[in-house]
Amino acid sequence: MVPLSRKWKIKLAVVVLLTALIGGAMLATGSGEPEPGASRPGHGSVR
Amino acid sequence: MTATEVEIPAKAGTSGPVPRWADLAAQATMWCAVPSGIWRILFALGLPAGFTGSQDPRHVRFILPYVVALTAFSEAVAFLGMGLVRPWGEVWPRWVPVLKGRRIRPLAAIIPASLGSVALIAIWTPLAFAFTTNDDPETPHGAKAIILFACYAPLIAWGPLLAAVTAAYAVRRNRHEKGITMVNALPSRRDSP
Repeated sequence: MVPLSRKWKIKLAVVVLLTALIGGAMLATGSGEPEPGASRPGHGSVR
Repeated sequence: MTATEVEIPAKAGTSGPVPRWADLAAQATMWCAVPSGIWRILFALGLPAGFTGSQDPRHVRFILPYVVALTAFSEAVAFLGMGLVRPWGEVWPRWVPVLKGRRIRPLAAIIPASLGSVALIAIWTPLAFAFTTNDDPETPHGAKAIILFACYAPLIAWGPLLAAVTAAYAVRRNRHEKGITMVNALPSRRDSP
């Protein structure tokens, strides 16, 4: 395995941190309910 | 200053010193596409992003390979911008067959980079105004819209940053080319009496 330089380790850590932040934020805000007017495939739109 | 002094030994293998701001701006262009790429992949993996109804990713076939390919492509394009501040933007690297070691003409980099920056500005600047005008019920709203916007907002800076880096590249290469021309125009010592 090629050893990573300090610079690349920092870059990789930033990407991991960003992934955790974005993923955490997406999960924290929940799946939520469809907005009124949104369609449901096979079920028509949500009223 | 004499013409021969114009040919300064290249710093870090480039024809003339790269301004620090240009180097930082080129690195920033690579980071501009990262948050949106991460968001896109997480969205395709099924994390709740706020898209519902016909926009729900669960109803789109092959979305994961598509977004991974799209993210890899955008990062590869962003990486090309680094060539404007690195030696491989001036001379073809050794691992490129046929072309290796050949000099890259300045316009061969300046024209695509300029067109790219114009395209990026045209594509992503409207995003700055899209956040307030979203009335599609199937797209993210509230906190999810803020997350989406926060991830895509850096893309607005990509075009202007690339334009600035391209300008720095053009100035640096032009200065170097002029230096070479001046050196070649000088009478050689053997010709002089």
